[in-house]
Amino acid sequence: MNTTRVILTCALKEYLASFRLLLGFIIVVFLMASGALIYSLRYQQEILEYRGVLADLDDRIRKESQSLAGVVTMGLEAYRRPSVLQFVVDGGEETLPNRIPYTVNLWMSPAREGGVNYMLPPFEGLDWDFIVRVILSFVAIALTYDAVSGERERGILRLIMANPVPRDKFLTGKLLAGLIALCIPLLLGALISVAILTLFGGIRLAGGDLIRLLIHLLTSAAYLSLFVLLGLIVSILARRSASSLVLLLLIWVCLVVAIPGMARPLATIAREIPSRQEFDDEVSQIFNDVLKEYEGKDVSHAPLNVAPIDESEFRWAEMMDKVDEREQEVVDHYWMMKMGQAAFARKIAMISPAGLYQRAGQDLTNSGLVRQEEFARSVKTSREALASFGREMDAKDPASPHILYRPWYMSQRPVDPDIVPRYREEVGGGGGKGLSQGLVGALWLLSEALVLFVIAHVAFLRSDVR
Amino acid sequence: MLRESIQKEIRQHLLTTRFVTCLALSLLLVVFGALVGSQEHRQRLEEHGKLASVEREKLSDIRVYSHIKPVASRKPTPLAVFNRGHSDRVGSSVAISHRSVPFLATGGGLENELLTLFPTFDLIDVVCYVLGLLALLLSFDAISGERENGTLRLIMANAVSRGRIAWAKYLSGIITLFIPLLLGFLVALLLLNIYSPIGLTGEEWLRVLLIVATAVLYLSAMYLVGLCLSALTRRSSTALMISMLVWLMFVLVIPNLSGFLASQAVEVETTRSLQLKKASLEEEAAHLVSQYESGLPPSQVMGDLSIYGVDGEVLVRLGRPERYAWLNDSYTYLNRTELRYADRIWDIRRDHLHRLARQSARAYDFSGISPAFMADAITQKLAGTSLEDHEDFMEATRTYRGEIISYIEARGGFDTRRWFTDDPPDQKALVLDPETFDRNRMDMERAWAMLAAAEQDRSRILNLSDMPWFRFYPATVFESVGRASGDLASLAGLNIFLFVFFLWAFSRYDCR
Repeated sequence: MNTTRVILTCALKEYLASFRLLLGFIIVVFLMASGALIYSLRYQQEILEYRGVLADLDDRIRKESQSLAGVVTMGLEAYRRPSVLQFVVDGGEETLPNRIPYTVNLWMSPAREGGVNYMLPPFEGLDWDFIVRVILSFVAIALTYDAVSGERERGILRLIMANPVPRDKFLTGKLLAGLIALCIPLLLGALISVAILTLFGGIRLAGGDLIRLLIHLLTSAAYLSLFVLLGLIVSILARRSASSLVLLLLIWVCLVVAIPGMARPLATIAREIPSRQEFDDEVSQIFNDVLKEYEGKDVSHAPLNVAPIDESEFRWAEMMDKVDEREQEVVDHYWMMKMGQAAFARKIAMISPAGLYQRAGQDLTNSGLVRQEEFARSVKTSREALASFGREMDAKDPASPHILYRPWYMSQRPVDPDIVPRYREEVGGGGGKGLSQGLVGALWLLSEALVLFVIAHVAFLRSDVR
Repeated sequence: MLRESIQKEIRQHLLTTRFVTCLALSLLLVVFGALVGSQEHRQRLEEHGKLASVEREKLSDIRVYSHIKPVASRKPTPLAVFNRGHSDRVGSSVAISHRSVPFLATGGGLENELLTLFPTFDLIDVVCYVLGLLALLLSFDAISGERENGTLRLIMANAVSRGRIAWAKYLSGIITLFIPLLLGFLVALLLLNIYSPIGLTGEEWLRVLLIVATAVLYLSAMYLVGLCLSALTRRSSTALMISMLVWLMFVLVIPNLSGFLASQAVEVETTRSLQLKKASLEEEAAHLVSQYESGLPPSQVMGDLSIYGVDGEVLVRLGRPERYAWLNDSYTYLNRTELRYADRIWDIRRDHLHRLARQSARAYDFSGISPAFMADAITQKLAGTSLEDHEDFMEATRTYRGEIISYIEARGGFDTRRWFTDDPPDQKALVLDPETFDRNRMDMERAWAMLAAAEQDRSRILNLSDMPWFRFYPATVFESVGRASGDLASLAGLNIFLFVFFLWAFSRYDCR
């Protein structure tokens, strides 16, 4: 153990004194601070807008609550709450769907409202995820490309190996030194970032958020250790530091830029989905199709006050239920296909540790695709809550024809707007699934690091120290 | 003498591992990118063709004017393989409606908003990332490395001017970098020609050549940055570290930072406030219409069969003459109001679009300090995938909407009953006498039979053979070059500046 510590302190001192770490340090801290500033501005705006939207919705519910029929059958919208942890992992906060229109009869495709200007050149937010995934992994390579080959070139390696230093301890020492050196800017940047967000952004982090944040930092360490190990392996294998650097940079480009960049086009080809136009055509065809099934039958209907209710109106309601049911099927299917396509893209990106790390981060902070899944699911639940509320309230009114969820055929009594169930999102909590999935991602990263460590060890054992 | 030194330098470059590995990786990525890209292009092309054929089919079965909703779609360009630019984020088709002026497009890669989670990587990125890296790797030790090896003194000992050495260094680097660039483009074009259903036109070949020229300008700028760093530092390892940092800043940090900063720094009206404005105008229009309708004699609701579609589509059948007269009055007023309010809503939206465009322009201005980003902006324009090209398309759809409106106008579509019904004037109504009508005893068999007869009657279909078709002429090469000229000039200017700076720094370099 002692040997490891000596190697560690020695290497760490060297790193800390190096020009490259200084450069990396400045960039990381600068980017994390400016990212935090921008995110605190953005979060305040988003919350303001979110509250406005909720207030609008509330007004509309109050207006409609003059009759139960009106308030139960009105068109509603669910809005995704802006994520507090978006400064850690952006996860498509400003681009993924944030609004699901729904009625008691069906929920529609999630849609995007507002958000980032589509005319801007494509960019990724300056969240912790980007800084670790792109900047710090680059610094990791710049730091370690000559960890072994440089010492060999200068002849130091022979001197070290002349002493009783086991090779695995030498490697462990180098690995830990690199990791600690990288964690210094990361932790300092994280502290500054959290400080800025709590002081200027008015963000209060709950206990659960802090735990997620800490796990994210640990996952980051696992991810960075992969690049440190990669640097060690290549620098063991390469005869010259210069060629080690070139090789590492190219591997880095492949892992961090090229493989994740191929995910989207590959998914569009491999998992083709119908165009929006085809989807719209399919939906608008449903009514005509169902109407044809009722050919020859009386499905006419009239407002309650015009004529007494008769059989044809029940048949009409039945037909409309059928229309809604089919439309729901089509909408569900389209949504499933979209999710499938995106999940496929994510799988391709996960070939690279950068994709794996990004996914683990999104799962941990409950953003990205996990969030979308949960959003759609919780809208369905609140739709069911509204339906059972309508059914119960309607049963209490003897004057109602009890044809459920059709505006003219339900109770016309006024209801208390405060007891009408609305879509509400629990703050922070929930997402236990995301947390456990995130941990699985972190474990994957760790096991990849372990494999690399073994490879590094074997490579080092076989390497010529001269 | 110059030729010999260039030859020597090139030979040296070609033998290095950096050159060989970068060449191999760039070719690998190019092959992969071109395969994926051409496949994607084929898919887009199919989608475009499908849209057009569905359009023709729909048009041949339109019975009332309210159903005229042609879709204008933009043909995908094969050059998107080189730089997809904004093409998969702005949409490529627009449904034309008299009720709204085209504002946003759909389709063309926009189907799945969940995919915005993933960044994209195309052939110009291979140039920007891999070859840009190679440019720096070839040049960072050009001067300081030779000094460390001691060869710089030997060269200087001969009767060679420093200017000549500088030229030799520069030209040899450019020629070396040109090899993987040319190979990459040739491979990409070959794959594109094999896998793309149609070859490139003459104009597109010219565009490709210009894209290659831009790539050369970019690589030359990156190479010069490396040379300058090499001439400013004593040790090549310092030059290496700084040039790696410069590369990271140019290709990754600045482009991301600029978009992120611009999205917060430049104020843009929120979509919500835009929608509130739009909603209040629409409410105003609806109020006008209901006011007008309340002034009409009470309407006879009873006994017609109406089907309402999306976006104001309506088809009424078997109504009574009084009902039709009422509907005619009402729809005439409604259409006039909607046409007027469409223009007013467009006024608001146009302002919004201008602001969005201004925000985007700021982001592009800011990232102008990175030659990689400049090259990206220029090649977008050359490939026809830039925002300006999209705006051209949107403008064409707006013109097309005007044509459609005047076409319907000329045939009296907005003001006659042909707007909402295909019943001939002598059509018998379903309910002959509303006074004695009893819903519960209605003869449904007869009603469905009448409806089926109307559906079968092909003579009710509108003859729209002379309806104008959507035409879109994308910007010509000269227009595209004109648009890119500012960026091209600054990229060229950067090259000249860096070269002069390099000459100056080298002339003062202590070669011991």
